[in-house]
Amino acid sequence: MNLQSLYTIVEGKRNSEFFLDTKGKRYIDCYCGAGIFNLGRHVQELSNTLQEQADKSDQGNFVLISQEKALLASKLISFIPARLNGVFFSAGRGEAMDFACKLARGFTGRTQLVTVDGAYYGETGFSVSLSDGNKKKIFGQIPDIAVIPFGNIQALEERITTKTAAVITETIQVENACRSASEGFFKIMRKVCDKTGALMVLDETQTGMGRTGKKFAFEYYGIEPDILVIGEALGAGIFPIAATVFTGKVQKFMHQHPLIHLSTFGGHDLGCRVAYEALNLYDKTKPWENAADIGQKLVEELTALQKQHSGKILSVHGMGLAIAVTLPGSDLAQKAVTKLVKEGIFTVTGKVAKDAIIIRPALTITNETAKSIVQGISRVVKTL
Amino acid sequence: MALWKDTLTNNDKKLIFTLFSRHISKGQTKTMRAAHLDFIETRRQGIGFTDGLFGRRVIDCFTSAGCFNVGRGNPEIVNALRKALQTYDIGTNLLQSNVKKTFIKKLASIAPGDCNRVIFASGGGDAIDCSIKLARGATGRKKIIAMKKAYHGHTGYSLSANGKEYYRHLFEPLEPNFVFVQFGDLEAIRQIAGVDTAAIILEPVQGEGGIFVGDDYYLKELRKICNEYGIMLIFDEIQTGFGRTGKLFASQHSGVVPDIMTLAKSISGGLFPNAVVMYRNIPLLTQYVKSNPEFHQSITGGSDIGCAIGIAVIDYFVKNRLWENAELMGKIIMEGLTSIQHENPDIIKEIRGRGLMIGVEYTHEYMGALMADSLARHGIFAVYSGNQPQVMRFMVPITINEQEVKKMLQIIRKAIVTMKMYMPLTKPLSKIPLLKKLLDDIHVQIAVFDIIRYFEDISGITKRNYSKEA
Repeated sequence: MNLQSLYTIVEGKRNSEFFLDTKGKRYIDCYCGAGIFNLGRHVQELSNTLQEQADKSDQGNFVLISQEKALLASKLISFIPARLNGVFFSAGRGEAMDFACKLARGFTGRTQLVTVDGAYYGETGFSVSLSDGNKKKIFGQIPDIAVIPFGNIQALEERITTKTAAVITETIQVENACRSASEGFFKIMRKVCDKTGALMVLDETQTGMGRTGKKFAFEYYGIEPDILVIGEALGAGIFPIAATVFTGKVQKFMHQHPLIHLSTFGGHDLGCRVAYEALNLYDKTKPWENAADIGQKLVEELTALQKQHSGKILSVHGMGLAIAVTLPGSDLAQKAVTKLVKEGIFTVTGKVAKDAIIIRPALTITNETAKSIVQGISRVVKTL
Repeated sequence: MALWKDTLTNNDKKLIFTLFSRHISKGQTKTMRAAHLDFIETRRQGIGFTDGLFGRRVIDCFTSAGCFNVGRGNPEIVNALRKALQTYDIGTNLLQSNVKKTFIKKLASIAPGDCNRVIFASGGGDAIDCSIKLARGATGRKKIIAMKKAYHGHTGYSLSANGKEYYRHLFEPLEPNFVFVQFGDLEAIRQIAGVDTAAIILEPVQGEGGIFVGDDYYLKELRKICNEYGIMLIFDEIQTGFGRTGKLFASQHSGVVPDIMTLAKSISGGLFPNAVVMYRNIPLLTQYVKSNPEFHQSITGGSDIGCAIGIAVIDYFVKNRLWENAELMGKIIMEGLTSIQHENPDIIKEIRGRGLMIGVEYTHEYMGALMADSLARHGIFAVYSGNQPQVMRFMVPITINEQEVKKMLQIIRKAIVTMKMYMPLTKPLSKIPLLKKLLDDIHVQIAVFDIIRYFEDISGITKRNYSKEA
């Protein structure tokens, strides 16, 4: 199995866009824990925050009102460039997506969930049911789910109806070779949702928090979701915290049904203190600017590489620092990944598109490191 | 950092309530306020916390449903967190690390029987989802037998295994291959268990469902049924694990080794999220996991920081043999509660539990909320089961000592006296069927209590009560 070779690396020290194995070999982290280390590895400021706060707070009783949850929720709302108002914190992305689905069903009183092909949302029940692949067949699927082709405008118009609770999609399918859809697709989706009363759920667990060159990728399309799923990049790799964020209208459901959905570790008071500081840091350093700048250069250089080796690199897709290099076949992609690891570049193939190498480094990456990535890929591609 | 406060002014509290209501849930604020559960936890220490507004100590009898078994703000665990942070961040879920390896070994060393293999998850719900996937994947079967009143979490599969309509009905249809039977009813299971069954999932002691202890015979018979048909026996030990019931794991009372066991909550002493699915070292399961390493990948479960804390938590448990304290203190509390019951048979119907997982069942449904309110006034935070409003759970940190137990029992006695003041009003009313229904309706209670609370606040009664306590 392809993961076995990766499993032999024993991760040791870590810093900015790198980690060392316990033998002292340095790797550029192009996986970033599936996109959680947006501010770099072992962010010193946040590590300090948690060390300071460790005896001043703890998880807290999850049913209670806390200053941590209240202040973080408020801060997160002002951080997000959309008219959203309600927040529910989770420990991880699957849980946050599962809640988004429940919220959509609960609020609309409808049951149908419309998802897109090529999607990956996580490993919990609703997320598995909505994702591409055969897991839902093996592990069981939540009923009343329809799948439409990602990017297909006609399908939106035909399949989203007044029976639809929500249409659910990522903004960019990072695990599926960073496949994107047109602005029109998202604009029409918004329009059809408004017309039918279906809710628009955007999963930005990997694309959000600056990865694509803006705070959130939906900004590119000039639309706002009804429900937004934010991943663990919120805790910047120091604390596991994710969030589901929604409009004031949808929030009525939470006002009317308090404590109907619970998360023991979601809204962990210590985690809120860390995430609060993380948001300060995001605001201060604006890592999306660097992501846009370096991402563009990386795509350009990798595209140039593709032209040189057109038989070996089939395509390069990406937005900001979510970039996919597609090779002819999953075996070759796996071989490339193994060789890249030897080159000191830690990356993996997509969970959906296994023939694609996904490059998602820390957003704080320097030009020099970005060049090393291109050089490494260039050397490896030549040997394939 | 001046942002986070240990002492709150009225204005601070108002701001917190406003922001919480605005961005999280107005309904939750109202519910908490109505029942005098509008504590703001500031300093967290030992068996309780300080309520930030009134500065008084509150004994924590809920412990986030069993997260603080090692006590709140335990200095040894806090130090482990600080030390871990000098080197580690969450780490890479696909890679090994030395702390991960050590934690896995530690878990294996305390595991029941051969249930010593580990998969990481991000939290309780995620762990349950993983356990169901593992059972279905390994057996190639779909049907899961779960328990009525069961509580396993709120993610897709865990919610599908929840045995209470309240948490499910607004989100249905859920995954359909779950069949529910009465907890403790072997005959019902014998009738439906077979070679098409992937798993039987249960909490060895039902927590949220109202503290029902699965007796040894029941669990042993379940093991036999599972053996007969090749069914995976899943124990959800998220609340019962880590010493809560008087043994390290509740399964150890009966000696029944489950095929799959989920742990979360106290695994990191309430300081950092983490969870595990443990499974037996049998080919059916090990081979499945080996050949399907991607069947359930958690990004943050098994984080390096979480594992480092987990090592300290296990060491602390083993060093102090905390489960023995849970058993000992549990006995004293049970005895105390039983004598309180004898003195108040019109209020307390039954006391049940194991170790420090104790349930008090009141004679009427509406009493759960009234008691929560009365206890809160006297300095105990306890909640009634969402699934079972007349049952209140007492799950103090298991580091509690005898003196603290005494104090806790004193407060419970006082609370009962306070509650009796409501009784002349509520008891005759509860004899009228329509009014009883209203009294038992949680929404009605919240609305009424909220109005009462409003008048208390403007008349200053709340403040007077609290300053007296402090």
